[in-house]
Amino acid sequence: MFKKLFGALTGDSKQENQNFEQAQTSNENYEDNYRNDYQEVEYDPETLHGTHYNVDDFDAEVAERAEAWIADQRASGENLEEKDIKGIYFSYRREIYTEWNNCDSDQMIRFEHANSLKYTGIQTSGFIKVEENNPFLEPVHGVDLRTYTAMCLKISAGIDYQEVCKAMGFESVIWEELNTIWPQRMGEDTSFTVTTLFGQYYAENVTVPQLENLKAEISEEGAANLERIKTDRYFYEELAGARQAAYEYGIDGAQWILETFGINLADFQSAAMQWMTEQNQNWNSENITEFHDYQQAKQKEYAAKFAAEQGGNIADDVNF
Amino acid sequence: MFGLFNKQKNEENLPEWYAELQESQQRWFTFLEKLEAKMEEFAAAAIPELKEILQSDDDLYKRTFHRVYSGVNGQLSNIREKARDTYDEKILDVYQNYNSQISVLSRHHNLVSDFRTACSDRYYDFDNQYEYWRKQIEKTQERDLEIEYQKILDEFDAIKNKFSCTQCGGSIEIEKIFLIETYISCPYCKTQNTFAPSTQGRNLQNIARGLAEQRTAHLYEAFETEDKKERELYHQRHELSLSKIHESDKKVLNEIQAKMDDLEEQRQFVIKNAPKLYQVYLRAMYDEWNKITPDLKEHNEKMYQNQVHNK
Repeated sequence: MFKKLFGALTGDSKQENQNFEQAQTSNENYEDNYRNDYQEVEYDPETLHGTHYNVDDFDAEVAERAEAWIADQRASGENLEEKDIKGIYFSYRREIYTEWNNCDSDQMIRFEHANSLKYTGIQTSGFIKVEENNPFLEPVHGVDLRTYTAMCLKISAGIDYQEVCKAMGFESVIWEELNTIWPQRMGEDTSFTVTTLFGQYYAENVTVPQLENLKAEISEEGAANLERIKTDRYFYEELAGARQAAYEYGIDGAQWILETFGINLADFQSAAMQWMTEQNQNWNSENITEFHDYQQAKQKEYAAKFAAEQGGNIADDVNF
Repeated sequence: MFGLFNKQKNEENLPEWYAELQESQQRWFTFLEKLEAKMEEFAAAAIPELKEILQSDDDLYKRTFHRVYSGVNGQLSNIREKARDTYDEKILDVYQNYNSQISVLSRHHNLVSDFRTACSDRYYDFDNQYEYWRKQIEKTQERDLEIEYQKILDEFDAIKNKFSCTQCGGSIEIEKIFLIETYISCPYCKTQNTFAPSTQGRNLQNIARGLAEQRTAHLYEAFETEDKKERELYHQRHELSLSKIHESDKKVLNEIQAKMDDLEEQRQFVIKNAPKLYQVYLRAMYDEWNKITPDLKEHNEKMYQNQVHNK
């Protein structure tokens, strides 16, 4: 049992590992390999698998190691449930990917994102894969998800839904049904295809010809700020932090962003989705930490500002 | 008497830096006491106010309430953050400073670790207080949905026979509570009419699940109680196993073992039974929900299947 576990952890079993002279057994070794070989691995742009092996071989290797471990666990009396088995496969997939490609954890996460539908049945923003004839994506009253998203974008930008309906040429009854059925499908679809695709369209700020003339009012300053949150991640993080701070001081953050920076909710959420997709696609833990810390620092700054406006925090006069 | 003598002798031997630790500890205790008082004073004022805002907020989504609620929580978190930052700066830093200077082999090292333990225990109590108030504030969100439901039913009774055809003026009976705008054709002239439910009527779909949960809360509680038993039984068994260590009497050991086996059996039962009770709750909750909003039944049943599958 221990031999098997050890074998599983170090990759020391009979497998096609000819690409590298030896499997990594220590961190030191790992670092060396990483430095020397990392650039040599070529990845398939679609699957992010290394091109030096066959995907079926990879899956077979995962299955072989996982099943051996499962059999072992069961033999020693462990009661494994479906979620445990999924977890075992998940771990071996990570391990073998890292081993065969000699990559860092960021590359491994990018690989997981690119293959989330295949291996876990769940879509990931930025890597969405849609099969034809998905019943969840059938149009409702002739309105497909893309058009529905375009309508939602207009409404959250502050345009009255009646006007949106008029532009689309249907009565509000139809809108209410659309706005019931699409969200219901999002809930029912366990692969999150509808939700993820909705998010993608939202990030793209999609529109349809019927709605092109409906424009939410935006000031010159607002337009400039909007352009900036889409291109300057730091500025986006600043506003996200500010918005959060506003809520913590009993202020409607979305409304505050509109009043202060001229950016409406739809545009703000769209930028948020856009950055999230970008982050998923180019997963880099260092950057993520950097932006997270930046947002926290900005949130603190704005919190201090809101506190000052409200005459301070409750416990300001308590000192150590 | 000897104890007293020892104590004096110890105090004489206490290192100079001990005074600083004592002062920090004292300050920390006082600081948290003051923060706790603030927290209590603030929460005691905020809770009745929140309840009142919820009552008087006519908005369907209770946005005013949520805004204020979020602000109240913000202040509470602010107090908690203040405690955390101060702990890091005034307690942990001091501890780490002395801990790095005073060898673990020194007979005074325990003064350093005792300082840390006393301060972190006190901090833990503060955090419990915080959790307590946060939960009390959370409870202000609860509202008796039966009252709101009754209002919707009363309104429906009042309007169901008052709708008439826009074309021929014939009376059209509204057969059920519609959640969204719906086409209804006139039984006389067949003209398609649009029925638009009132704001209150529409709200039924927002409160339906909450109401169903409220009505089946006893089943959820039964599940929770069962679920918690597993840890309790585990700890009881563990304590018995510790009591065996210094026991040599075979008869007593056998008795303990029998009790342990019994507890383990109960524990295994609970492990299997708790998920069953959860399923009982879930089915009853969805049944209740379907009764409240039959129009959502088809969708809800799919959601139920997904949930059962993922559990």
